[in-house]
Amino acid sequence: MAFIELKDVSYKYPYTKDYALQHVTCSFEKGKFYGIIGENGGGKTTLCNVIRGLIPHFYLGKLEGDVLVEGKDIRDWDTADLCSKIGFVFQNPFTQISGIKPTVFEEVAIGLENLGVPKQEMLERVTNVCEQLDIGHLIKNNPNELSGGQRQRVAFASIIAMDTETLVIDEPTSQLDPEGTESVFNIINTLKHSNKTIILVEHKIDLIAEFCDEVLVMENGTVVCSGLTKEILSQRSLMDHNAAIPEVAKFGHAMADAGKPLAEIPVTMEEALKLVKERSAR
Amino acid sequence: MDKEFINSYNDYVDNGNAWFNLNPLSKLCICLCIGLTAVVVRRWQYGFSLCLLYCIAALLIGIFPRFIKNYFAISIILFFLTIIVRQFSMKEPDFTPFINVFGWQWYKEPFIAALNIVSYIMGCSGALLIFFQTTEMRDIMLALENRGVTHVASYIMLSSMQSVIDMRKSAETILESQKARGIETDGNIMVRMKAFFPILGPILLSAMSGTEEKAIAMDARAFSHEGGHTYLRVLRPISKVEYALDALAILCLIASIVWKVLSLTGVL
Repeated sequence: MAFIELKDVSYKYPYTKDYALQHVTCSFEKGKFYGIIGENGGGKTTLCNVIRGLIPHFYLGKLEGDVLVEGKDIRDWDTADLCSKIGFVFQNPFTQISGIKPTVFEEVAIGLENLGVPKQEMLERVTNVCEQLDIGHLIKNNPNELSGGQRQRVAFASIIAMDTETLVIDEPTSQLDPEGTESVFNIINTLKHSNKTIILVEHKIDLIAEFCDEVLVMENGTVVCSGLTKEILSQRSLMDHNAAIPEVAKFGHAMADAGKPLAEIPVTMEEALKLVKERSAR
Repeated sequence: MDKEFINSYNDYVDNGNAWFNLNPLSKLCICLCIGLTAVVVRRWQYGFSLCLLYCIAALLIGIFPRFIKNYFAISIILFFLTIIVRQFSMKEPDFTPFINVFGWQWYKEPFIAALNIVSYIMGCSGALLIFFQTTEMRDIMLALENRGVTHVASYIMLSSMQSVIDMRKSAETILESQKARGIETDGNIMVRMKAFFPILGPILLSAMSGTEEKAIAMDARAFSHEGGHTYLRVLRPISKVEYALDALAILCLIASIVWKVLSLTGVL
């Protein structure tokens, strides 16, 4: 059974004429890594807000259709219960810090304090997460004085410490430098192996190709295609929907156009290298 | 990873010395009661004795340099301002001439009245200054939360204080970028005001837009969870000695009120 299911979901923000989401139907299964891609303004963040329950609990407006989390309608979920099921990390690293904790260690523990986790367990979980995310050297620092990349890692840590089954990650690297981006993707790589359900919105298509099991492509508030990452990202037609395809997929198509096709269209660098080697050996 | 730092959370909050480690509410009670005695008594002899006591206390608890810096600044301004205002505002023909300052005759009665005012303000503010210089706001809020104040109220208080710091930082950043664009931001007060007022709008707007995201971030951290909260930092429980000190401070305040009433009614 799908952990999260959207059935014919449409949503319109308050005081707006147009729907931000239109007749979206999709589902997310436990333990899988999903990527959501598409043009800016395509409805990716709105979809995240629906999955996370911010719509309709935080943002009002008109929500139509059914959004089910563990089979229960999102409207019936208590927001506090929902946040212990679905974690949420978003774009801006500067507004994700609580601003009231003087050390990173305490900042990471804030969600656990709110959930009433016993102190010893809290100490263990925070220590483990800080080690896992390689922020151990920052624990005594003031989170308000960290760089964007470091803050984003702290934001991840505080959500991961809450040990939610699902993580919704909305463009975590959009405001980060290459170094910050790399460290965030190292975290995402760690998460991939933790058997959690992860829903990642990201423009860096090569990284989506590397990490995700399945991909949803959004355009004008609708899901234009979805499926296995390799099947979707190898399609040249994706570019017609203003979505990018990986550079190696472009290379594969270029090879085919030049009459020297590879055995299949690669979507990751690893695949491309393997296919090129195979072709050379032929 | 610094294990010693992590293990420090296993103990009660340790802020350095016995005074710092007093429960914030006990400390507030002691400081407030002693400060209020100065307001009640309103005698410069008592007020200035308290000031001296605060200086000794600041020395003993290790905050003398920063205490005296702030206290001295308040004292000097207040002292001269009150004395000058009193010398101007109190005029009676039978006042006793006191000193002559560059041809300006000062009288004893307004001078004593000014000293009384300054001493009670200083007597009260000194106690509060010691309290705030030795107590972190988060400890005050934690102590209040332990007494039933909601975590929402606590968060509002603490994040408001952080917002002020953030807004000051963003004002500095905007002013620096204005400066880089050739806009004059340094100079006399008028120049500074002309540079500062136009950036107030953007600062406030960016603070407001950040608030929405901060609310979402806090929501993701189970802020609205209704069950009992736990705390990583735990304040030392109030000891019997602290209760005794609180009681003593309250008794001092009551004694000062009794003394005042008796002296006003002419019994003393």
